[in-house]
Amino acid sequence: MYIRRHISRLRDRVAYGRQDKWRHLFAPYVGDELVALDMETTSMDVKQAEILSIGAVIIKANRVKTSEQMQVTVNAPERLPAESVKVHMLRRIDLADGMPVEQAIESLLKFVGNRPLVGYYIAYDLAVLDKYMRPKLGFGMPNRSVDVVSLFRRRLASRAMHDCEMRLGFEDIAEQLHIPVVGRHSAIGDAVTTALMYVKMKGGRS
Amino acid sequence: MSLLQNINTQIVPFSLLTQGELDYLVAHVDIGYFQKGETIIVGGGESEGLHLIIKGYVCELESPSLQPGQTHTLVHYGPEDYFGAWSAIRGKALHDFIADEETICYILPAKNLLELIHRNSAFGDYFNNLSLQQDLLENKSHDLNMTEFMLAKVDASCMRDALVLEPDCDLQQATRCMREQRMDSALVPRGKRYGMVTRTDLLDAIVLENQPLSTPVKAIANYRLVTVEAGDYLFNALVRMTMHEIDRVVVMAKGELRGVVELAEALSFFSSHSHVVGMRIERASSVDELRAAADDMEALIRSLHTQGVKTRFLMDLLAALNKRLMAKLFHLLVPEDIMPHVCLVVMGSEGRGEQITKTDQDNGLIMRDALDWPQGPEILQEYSRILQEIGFPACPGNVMVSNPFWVQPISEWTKRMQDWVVSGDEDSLMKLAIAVDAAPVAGNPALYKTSRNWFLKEIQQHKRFLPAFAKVAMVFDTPLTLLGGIRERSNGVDLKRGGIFPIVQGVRTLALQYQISANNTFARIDALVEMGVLPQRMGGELQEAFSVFHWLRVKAELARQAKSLASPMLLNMIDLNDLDRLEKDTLRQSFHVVKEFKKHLALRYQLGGGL
Repeated sequence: MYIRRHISRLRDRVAYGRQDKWRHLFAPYVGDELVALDMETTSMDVKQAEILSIGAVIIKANRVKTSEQMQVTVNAPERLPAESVKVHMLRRIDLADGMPVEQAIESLLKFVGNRPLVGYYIAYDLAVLDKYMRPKLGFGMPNRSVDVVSLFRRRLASRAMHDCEMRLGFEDIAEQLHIPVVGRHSAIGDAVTTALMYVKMKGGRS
Repeated sequence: MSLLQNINTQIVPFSLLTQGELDYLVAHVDIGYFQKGETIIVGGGESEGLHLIIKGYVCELESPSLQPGQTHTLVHYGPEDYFGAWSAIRGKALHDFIADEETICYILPAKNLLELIHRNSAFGDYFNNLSLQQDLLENKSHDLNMTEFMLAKVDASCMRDALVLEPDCDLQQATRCMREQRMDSALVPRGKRYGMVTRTDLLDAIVLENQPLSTPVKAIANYRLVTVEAGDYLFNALVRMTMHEIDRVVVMAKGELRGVVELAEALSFFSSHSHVVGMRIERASSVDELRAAADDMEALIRSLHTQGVKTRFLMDLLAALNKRLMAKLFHLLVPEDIMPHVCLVVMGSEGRGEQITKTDQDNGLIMRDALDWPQGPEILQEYSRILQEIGFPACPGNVMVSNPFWVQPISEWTKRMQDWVVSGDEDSLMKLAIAVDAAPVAGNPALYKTSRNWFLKEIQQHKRFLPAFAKVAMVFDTPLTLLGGIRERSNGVDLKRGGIFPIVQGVRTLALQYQISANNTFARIDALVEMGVLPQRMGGELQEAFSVFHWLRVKAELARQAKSLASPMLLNMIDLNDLDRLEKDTLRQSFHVVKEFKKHLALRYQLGGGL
């Protein structure tokens, strides 16, 4: 999974990295910022999932720059399964003011630039984004990414705690890291909590 | 606005903001994460802005870079507390702020904080008040007013190097040295300790006692030194001088001699008249003169209160002055030859040194066994009467020396306390509560100390006494509603029953259990925290809540005096409508502290349904 993504990133960079319009997205990032990303979608299955909202917040050293965040809702897809509404609480009416998904992704790309991404099971979010981007733009999310779940696994392993049962749920990780859960199941809320997980596990070192 | 869920907008100062301003706040805060021990703000450096703690603890310390050698923790901040705002407004932090444990906090950058202050005047006032308080803490300005004096510390700016003489140096040499060094006093070492010789001592020795000039100075030195620690408040040095009626105290730092603070120099920092009042009391040779001095005292308290002097200091000062006044009157009335055989004690709040206005007389007399003093009752009647005339109302419970019940030989005094402990009924417990806080004022303090030491030992034998005594603290409800707001009766909120009494009684019980000899509630809490009996956080909160209750009480009392409504029944009641929002909030928090403390007591003494 990861290796495939690396390869496709490389391939994308060769194909698009020289185009003026996209050059800045493919340039290696120099700096100490990252962007924590979370999306609310209609399904856990990448093929079926449609994006409902995107939240992102900048991380700089030991700060979660909640003052520099982005939060967009997408206009409702034709199919809005009841099961997913129960989780993210976004009803059709809440999505009425949303923007087309292409526009949402465009603003995300603008916000993120070439900064690395941080997420909870980020591979899923990237796969969903890629699904939308490839047909339109020709390439997937080009950014380097960090998954807080793997950071957390490594943390447990390094502390010789692998004997104990691994609880990797979003709230579980927050709880074990003693992090307050900020607005669960809103894209921006989960993005902020994820950012806090990252900052905490990195101990303020980038 | 998901972030808002984690900011408690019900608490001051955020409750002062409108929804639009809250949105602005939320749009501009960042979240910071600090590891244990990490410095968040450096004293002397800039503060990024207002820090509001989400999780974790932060302590504020005197910065080692600004004040070398001192790392005294000033304040602890916990969840929902905020800090750094004042430093951000002023552009420079005074103290270090260090994460006590891992801490996550919101940070509102200085420029956005200023914008909010600019937009919302109530919010702005809040921080300006805060900066005022901080100004007081700072005490760096050379334009010293009273309050700043109160917070000035014993350091090089107010003390002199001590002149240390060889112990065998004779009186003539000593006099010469002191003259050359322009000192009025000198210290004489003996082992690791020091004795003091003043010019007056030299004069007395030579002129009155006909000592030869070759007498070694160690023979006349006084080895019972009154000292203060370097870094203590200058005010405490002054209280100590007022208390011991002396003109200088020696400054020590961890057992090392640092210097001497002279009264004259301390007073040169002083632009008000607390010591002047002290002098007037001292010089008074008649009841009328004493009364004039007592009136001065009231004016002094009023001015100190309006200047925002900390309640604890106010109490200390008033206690020292009251005690001197009472002692002086006692000396005016009681013959000199009786003095060594009696000890005048003040009890209750006076004994604890916790009055903030002149309150009822609560006093008693412990006598040597079998003292023959037929004129006693008459003189003591007179004493109570004059004290009343001077402005100390008679005690409603008749705890006064004019009442023979409170004038007893020491054996009877102690036996009665024992009886009270054994019987443990309500009346006995109340009497004990009063008597336990006795403090000697005049006469022979050894009589008082004997009875106290006996009592502290005695109660350890009575296992059932402490829980019963602790339970008294639960007698009155804490005036909080189920939802945590302040519950008000038609005639207001009772500060004494709801707040002061439970703290005093609970702390008193703990102090008895752990044989703490201090009387003052603040001092008892300090001692309990030091011994690890009370958690530091709870101790600090109790002291703060205790100050708040007293402060509001003085405030109400002074307002009432200004309107000349002197109904003593109202003394402990305050009307919530007279409080502004900030005061109300503070009061509410203080009651919550009391509630916590009661829970703590109930657990500790297994009082069960005492809540």
